[in-house]
Amino acid sequence: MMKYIYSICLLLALFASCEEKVPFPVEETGRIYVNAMMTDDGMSRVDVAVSQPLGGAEPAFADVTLRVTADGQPVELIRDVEQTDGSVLSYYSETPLSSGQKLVLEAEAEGLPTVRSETLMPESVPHAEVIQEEVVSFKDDAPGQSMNGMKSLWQFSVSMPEDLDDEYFGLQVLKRKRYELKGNVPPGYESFYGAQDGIVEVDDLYYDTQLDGNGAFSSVRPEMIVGYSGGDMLVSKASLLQDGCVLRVTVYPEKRYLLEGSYGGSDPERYYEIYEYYEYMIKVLRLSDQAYNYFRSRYMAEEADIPIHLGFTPVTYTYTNVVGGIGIFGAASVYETEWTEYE
Amino acid sequence: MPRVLIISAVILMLLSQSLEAGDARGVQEPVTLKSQMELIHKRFGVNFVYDASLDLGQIAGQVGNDVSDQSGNDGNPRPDSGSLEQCLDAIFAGTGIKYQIMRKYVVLTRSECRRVKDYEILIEERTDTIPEARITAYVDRQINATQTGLHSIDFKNFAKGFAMLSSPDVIKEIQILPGVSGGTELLSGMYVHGGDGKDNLFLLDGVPLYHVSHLAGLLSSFNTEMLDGLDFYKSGFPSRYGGKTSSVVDITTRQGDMNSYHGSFGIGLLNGNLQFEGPIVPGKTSFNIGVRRSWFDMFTIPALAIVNSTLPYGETIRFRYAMTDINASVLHMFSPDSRLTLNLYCGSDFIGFGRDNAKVQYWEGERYTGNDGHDLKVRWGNVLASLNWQKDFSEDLHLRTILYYTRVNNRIRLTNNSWETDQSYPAIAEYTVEEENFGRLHDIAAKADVDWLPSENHHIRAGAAFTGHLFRSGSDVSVRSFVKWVDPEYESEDIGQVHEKDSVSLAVNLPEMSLYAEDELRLADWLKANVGLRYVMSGTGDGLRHSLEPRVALRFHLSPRAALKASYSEMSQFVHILQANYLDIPMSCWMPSTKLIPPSPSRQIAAGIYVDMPYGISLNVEGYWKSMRNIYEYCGISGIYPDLAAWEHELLRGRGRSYGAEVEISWRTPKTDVSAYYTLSWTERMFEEIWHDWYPARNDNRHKFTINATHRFSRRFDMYLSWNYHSGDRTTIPTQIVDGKEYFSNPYNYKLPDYHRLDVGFNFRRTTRRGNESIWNLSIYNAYCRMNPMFAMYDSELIVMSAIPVIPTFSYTLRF
Repeated sequence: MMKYIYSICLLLALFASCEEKVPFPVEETGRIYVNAMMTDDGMSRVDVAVSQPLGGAEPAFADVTLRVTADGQPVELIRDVEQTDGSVLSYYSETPLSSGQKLVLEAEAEGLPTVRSETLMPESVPHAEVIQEEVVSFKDDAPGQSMNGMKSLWQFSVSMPEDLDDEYFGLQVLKRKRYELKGNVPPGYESFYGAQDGIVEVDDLYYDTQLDGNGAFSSVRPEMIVGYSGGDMLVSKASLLQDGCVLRVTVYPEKRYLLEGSYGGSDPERYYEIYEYYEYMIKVLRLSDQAYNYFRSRYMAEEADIPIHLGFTPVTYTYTNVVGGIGIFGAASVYETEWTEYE
Repeated sequence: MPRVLIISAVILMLLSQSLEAGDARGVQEPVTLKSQMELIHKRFGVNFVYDASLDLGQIAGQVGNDVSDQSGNDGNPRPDSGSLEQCLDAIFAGTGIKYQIMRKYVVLTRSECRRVKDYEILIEERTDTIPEARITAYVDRQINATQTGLHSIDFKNFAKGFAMLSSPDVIKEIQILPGVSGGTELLSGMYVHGGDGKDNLFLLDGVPLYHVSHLAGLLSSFNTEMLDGLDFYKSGFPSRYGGKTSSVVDITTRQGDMNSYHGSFGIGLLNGNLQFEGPIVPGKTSFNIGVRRSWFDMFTIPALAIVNSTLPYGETIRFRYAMTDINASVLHMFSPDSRLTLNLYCGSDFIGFGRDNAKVQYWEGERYTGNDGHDLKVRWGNVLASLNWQKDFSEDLHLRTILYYTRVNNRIRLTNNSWETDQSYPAIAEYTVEEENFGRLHDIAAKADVDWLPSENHHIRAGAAFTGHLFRSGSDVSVRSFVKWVDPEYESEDIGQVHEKDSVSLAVNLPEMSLYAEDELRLADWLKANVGLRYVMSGTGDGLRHSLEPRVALRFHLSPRAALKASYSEMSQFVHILQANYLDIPMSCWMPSTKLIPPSPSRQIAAGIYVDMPYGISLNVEGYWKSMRNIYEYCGISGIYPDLAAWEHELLRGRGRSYGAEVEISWRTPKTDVSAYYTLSWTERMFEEIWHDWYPARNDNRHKFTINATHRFSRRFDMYLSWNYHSGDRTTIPTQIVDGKEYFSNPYNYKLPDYHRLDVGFNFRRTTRRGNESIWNLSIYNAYCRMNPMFAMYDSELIVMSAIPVIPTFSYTLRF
């Protein structure tokens, strides 16, 4: 019997091993990266760059030649110098695009494979019904912006027509601040607030409900919020929006009366008040299939509950329709509601 | 005259009787070898062992050799007078078949066959209570079965193999077979010919079982002490099977002994089991019951009680895991031709853990208390009950009817409570999340199967089934959050408070009807076919869906020891899993096919050559090509429990394909059994919403090689050894970076390091003073401690994580 036990011990000693790290498979070259959203409101944007192989050397700046056509006709692209940084070239186009147009993008760079991508401009957006209301005021979990530790939710219920089963939509809340200066405003205030007056920004969406994102296992109201145009965008299939989709943003009521005071002592002649107003607008984007797939893949890669690299979750990917490269060449038709003041 | 009339009448009566007798003899069934063997079996109590390719339908022996002939005028032995040898000599004379008596067995072989050594192992392993049919079922099954892709495993092989953690495991036995990927190490994944792991039909005595594992897949749901046999099909599916697209695992439980009481008891690292069987009415009714239960909660509960007694401020920690399964069957024989079986199975798992932390806050002499902690309880399992009536109308016509109920269930309850004093106000903030998720599927069904052998050349099977699938799932989540002011000064101020509750529940009924017919045709001595058709109709409120599934299998006998086979089969699946991860944890729901989630069909072609070579060596080479449509990938937001509110939108629909070749070679001697399997395969997926081209599947293991060996050194000691190798599973890692963001190229773009491990097992047997058999088993999983990759993480460098080292296990079994 002992000889068998010796044999087992010998086997264990011979083969015992461990391993943890493996060489990273570095790709040989970068790829042409495209991030384009062609819209029918004359505000199309195209960013292009050369990606860096992960773990590899930073690529030399390559001059990427870019062509976009709509139904075979060239679409004029204008270099956006303000948005262009060292690695990403930004373009915009004011060419009006219309529903049903076939859009093609081709890009070339020396030493890299040519890329090509196609998409279709979606139908125009049906007019969504939007209802606005204040929901609740509650304690601010992250005090700092609020003055008295309270904040409110301003809610927009957006309903879509019922015959859009397979369509994909993105919803954004755009915020515009307006300032009203009364009394004898100190010097410099007018120009300071005047510069900020009317700036439009995409608001961050309050995560729909506290039911999600607080340690719960499930998500009873599935929502997908992605980053787009510098803010949040809720992306969903139309069929999920038919019963009314809720967008919530956080507002701080006390900021409506922003500043008061007087300079130069207690002279009432020098008293002033500064009012800050919020105006909101809902932007609805009817996304092409490719754009929806891309947004979802980015969401899954960045926001999924379980770390995706663990291998136990479904396939992880970055969707691309840029054949030969990476990124997205998407299209969207756009509808915007009127500006509404927060009351 | 009257005398003449009377004499004439008497003569006529005698003549008519004579003529009737002659007529009766004229229409009598021919006396076949098979019928004569049955008479010998009844008289001498011997069982016959033979190769199923032997023609036992031929006329027995020479003319007049009917051993049932009571006249004895022809001088041949009669069953009531001749010896066994004389009777056997008489019926097999001139038939081309020779016999050999081995204790209570008569082994039949062709006259030209030199030896019958191959059968000895089977005979020695079997007890005398095993009927003849079971023994023949295992002889040369691969060559003689018409189907491709069939593996039959008898329970004896489970018991003498490897007992990982506690007991031999059915699914882990299947995982080593060619064409099967095991998925994550140690779990009960089963990815057959490119399947997704949820497309395997598990039948326990003909009844589907949906959840087939305990402890997140560490153990399968099948108690091997209760099993009789297992047929595993991965291609060439007969028409009688349907409902899943990738494989069929048809498991039968063992019926209780009609004459004596006996059983077994075993205990291992994780669980213990007890099996007991015997007669209720000797010769008429028997029972067989088996119970398994994990036992380590007996240690964790007192251990945690001790730990909790040392914790301050009333803090308590809770943890408990328990697994139980019960198999029971009762068999009643109304007559030798009619029997009723009641089968029950109940398997359940429970895991619960939590922590309570009592908190105290004083404000101006007042004492405020609260609880800060969490509690999680998870239950899951199956219940199955079936009533099975089998009726033999004749030797050639059999009927089996089953009424059954089967249920798979999971339920998760989570309570998360936080209670804390506010940092900036004289207030206490209390926050509570309560959540419950559950997923259930109830199946209620009736089915009938007819088995008919109208002639030697046909074996017809037909049947119908009606199943009601009742899907019941739901989620309830509520959040209560409020601030309690402890300083009256603040009472008038607004109290921040949120109380939200939301729930979703699904209740869908899916009726399903299926019909099938198949014929096992003997077209020539060298050519056999199994031709069948299966039709399935199913539908919810949004319309009916149909599936017509042709199945064809051909077997060409090149020689008595070599066969070529080919098969084509189509399968379909009308129920789908909604699962947010690949772990075998109870956080999934079965869902029906709907308008947006159509049924999943698959097509498979397989062909191979099967050869029995000299010296007990057999070689099988098989190739397959399989396509799958409407396969689904979860794409929901929740990574733990799937979203139910819009579940149809949480599934991406795509296609799959798999192809490859499998080689099996085995060598069998009375003491040694060696099998080697090699698989070369490709498995790919195409989801247009994920990637614009085909990409490899997660379990695209290009090469898989397994070698198993058992050797019996003596009656008291035998050894098992298995070495498993396969190409690494695939995962997705980012490959490019733009503006600080990582991007993936194609999905599953990285192959993890290859997997290999060695398992060894030793059985030490002895006979107790009371004549019972006791077995000590020592099993070593991953004997050389290869740290196989489970998954990879990218965090500025690629780290492959391994978790399973060498695991030694002891278990003890006593058979009484």
